[in-house]
Amino acid sequence: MRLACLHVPDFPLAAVLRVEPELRGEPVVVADGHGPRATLLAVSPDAARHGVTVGLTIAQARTIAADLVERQASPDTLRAAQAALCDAAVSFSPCIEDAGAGVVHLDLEGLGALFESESQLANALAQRAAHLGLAAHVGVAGSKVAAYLAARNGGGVTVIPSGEEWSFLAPVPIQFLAPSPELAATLQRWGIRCIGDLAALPARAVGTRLGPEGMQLARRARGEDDHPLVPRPLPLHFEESVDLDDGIETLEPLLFVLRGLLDRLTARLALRGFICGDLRLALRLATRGRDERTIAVTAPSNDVKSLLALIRLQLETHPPPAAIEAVGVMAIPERLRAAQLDLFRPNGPTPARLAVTLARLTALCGADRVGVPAVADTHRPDAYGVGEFRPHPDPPPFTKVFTGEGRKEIPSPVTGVVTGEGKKKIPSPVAISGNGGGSGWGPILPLTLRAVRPACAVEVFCERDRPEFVRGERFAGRVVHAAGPWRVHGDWWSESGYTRDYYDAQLSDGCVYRLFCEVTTQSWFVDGVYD
Amino acid sequence: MLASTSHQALAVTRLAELALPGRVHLGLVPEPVRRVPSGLASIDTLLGGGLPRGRISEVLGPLSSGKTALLLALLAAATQRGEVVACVDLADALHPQSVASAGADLLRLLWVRPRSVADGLRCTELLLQAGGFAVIALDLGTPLPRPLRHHVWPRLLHAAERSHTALVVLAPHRVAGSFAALSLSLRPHAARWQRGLWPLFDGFDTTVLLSRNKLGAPGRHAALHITMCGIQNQWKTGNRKPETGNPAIGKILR
Repeated sequence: MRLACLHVPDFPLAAVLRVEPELRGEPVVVADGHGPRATLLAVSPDAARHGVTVGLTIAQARTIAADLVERQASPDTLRAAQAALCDAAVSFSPCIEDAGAGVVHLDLEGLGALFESESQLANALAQRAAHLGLAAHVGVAGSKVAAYLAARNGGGVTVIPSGEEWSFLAPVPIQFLAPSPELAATLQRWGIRCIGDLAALPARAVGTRLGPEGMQLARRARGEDDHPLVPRPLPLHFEESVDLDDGIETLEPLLFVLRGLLDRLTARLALRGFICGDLRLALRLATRGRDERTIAVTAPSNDVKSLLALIRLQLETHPPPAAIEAVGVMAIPERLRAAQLDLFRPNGPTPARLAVTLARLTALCGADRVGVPAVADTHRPDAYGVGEFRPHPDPPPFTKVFTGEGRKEIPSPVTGVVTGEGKKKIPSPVAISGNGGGSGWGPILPLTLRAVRPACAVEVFCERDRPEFVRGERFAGRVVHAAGPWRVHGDWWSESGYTRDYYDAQLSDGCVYRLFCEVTTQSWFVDGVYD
Repeated sequence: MLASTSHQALAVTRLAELALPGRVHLGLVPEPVRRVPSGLASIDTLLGGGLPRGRISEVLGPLSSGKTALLLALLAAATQRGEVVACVDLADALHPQSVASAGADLLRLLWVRPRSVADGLRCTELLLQAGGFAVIALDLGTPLPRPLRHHVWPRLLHAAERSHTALVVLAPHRVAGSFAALSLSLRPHAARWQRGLWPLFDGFDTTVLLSRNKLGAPGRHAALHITMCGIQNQWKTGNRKPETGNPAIGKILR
């Protein structure tokens, strides 16, 4: 059995540098808290060159080097870095064990067919981790402890050939096995400096003198694991967050931060074979409050530009109420669905661009004013609906074809009128018109109504119950022709009940309008123009 | 100028000497204009195959002239071919039932109802920039809203050219000026009414005049026959015989 270990040295520092890569090359120290008494957990090589070491307090480090860049090890940052390391490992093998604090073990069983050598595989692992912003060392050996020691002691990529663990581990200092201080002092007193010295001692004698802890240490020194690799499924949790030193009050700096978060998030998603679905944005406000919002991504994608545009529109529409001290973004992962494009069907808008465009249109006009028109399931003549716009790949469910010089085919679901005598076919428009239709008059089009929203109130003067004159702010004139009334009433069981008499009326301006009279109030309205 | 002519002649001579197969073109060969068929044979014949993609086309006419019916026929034909279309409805006048009865696939029609002229033009530009739409209709309504500045048209034309989208502007009279590739002016004839005991509005006939055409000869015309049929008449016809037990279906008065 061959195992690999991904180990990130100075993990708190690596986690911080992953979030702020611009700090590479700077004297950075990472402390376990705020204030001058916080203890340093990790120091960068540039800070170490000044003489700053792990374990000093911030105040002590400042006396040594005043220009230190000080950062706190945020639990969220550490968690995200560890998750990214696991993502890098799981992109090679599903059998991984998260050992925490920048260490991940993975089983290399079956990967030999994909790589020429274990060195090539280890290099690919290191590159994958580097792609996610983590400088990881990789060790390959026959046991977890040997692989870990190889990664930690060797630096870079270290491959211990099978059966040669002993020769590699023997000269490694005993401190690498992390014995307890008391045990380390005892071993020091005995003159045991290397792992090989401890492994050479008889196991029974070590157990008698050093107890269970000494036995365990000796077993590890011989390259034997405490327990085998226990693979656990990695949770589908993709979250990146960052604490901001100073509260951000304007949009542009916040978007700059969000771009970095989305870059890291989409890189992780892509490694796992996912694309970004809906986004959950969590903002910690300076007023100790939290602003959490969900941003719907209609076209899931890993395109950072599109995702950032959606977040921008959301924040522009609903700006946060106070300055922001921390930002977190969580992505709902979705599988990329392969779609077979139709050779004979024109391509519609690109899903990612369409999603951004729809978000922009919604921000501009309002959510209820962008969508597909829908025929409302009611008999109310002025009712309509707006649905969500998702251009579907399937052909239309039914078609009406107006071709050439007349109506060729109308395979519509509504081909007749239900009357008291059953289904009755509607006479063809040519028969109705009696105007020669067809070839004489070119194409026949169905009459179209232009809605007047909201219905425009008018005064109508009637003679013998027939409209004779219309007077209103937008529509006025003598009624030349009129047809009607048609009484429409419904919803009588609710407060929105209506009883209306509808008329078609041609005014002296030549236009044909649809008028109705509310029977209950005897008020008149124009709710459409035939065009 | 003279020098360039001599250079061209020299180039032609050299290429002829090389005996290269195929035709020799000087300068840029104009790209053939792609068209969006309207689905109406006579209108397509009038336009030379349909409305041009990447250009601005105007459909002009007063109310009750049939311009909305013509637009819906165009949108219906495009959606039936599986294309995606959009309508920026500044007048908020789109009647979904009319769109459905025109035969359009509603799921392929994006309906945008901006609140102001500026928003409407911005929406149109956004849709053009998104690409992928075969037709985008900008319905300016009647009367024409103000202010409608002229500098928007070159922007919209540029965006339409890049996205190869046919931008159709509905207006009572010309608005895009020289930026419009073609203008269809609709001139309605008298409305038709069925006489008798129960008079009915039957529709109207209209003449479509190609009043401007940068891609061909203007001045030709075609006829359209717009009639009350199908779904529009259904509820009126249905109301003549009252149904019992269904309160939503009305009854005749006399």
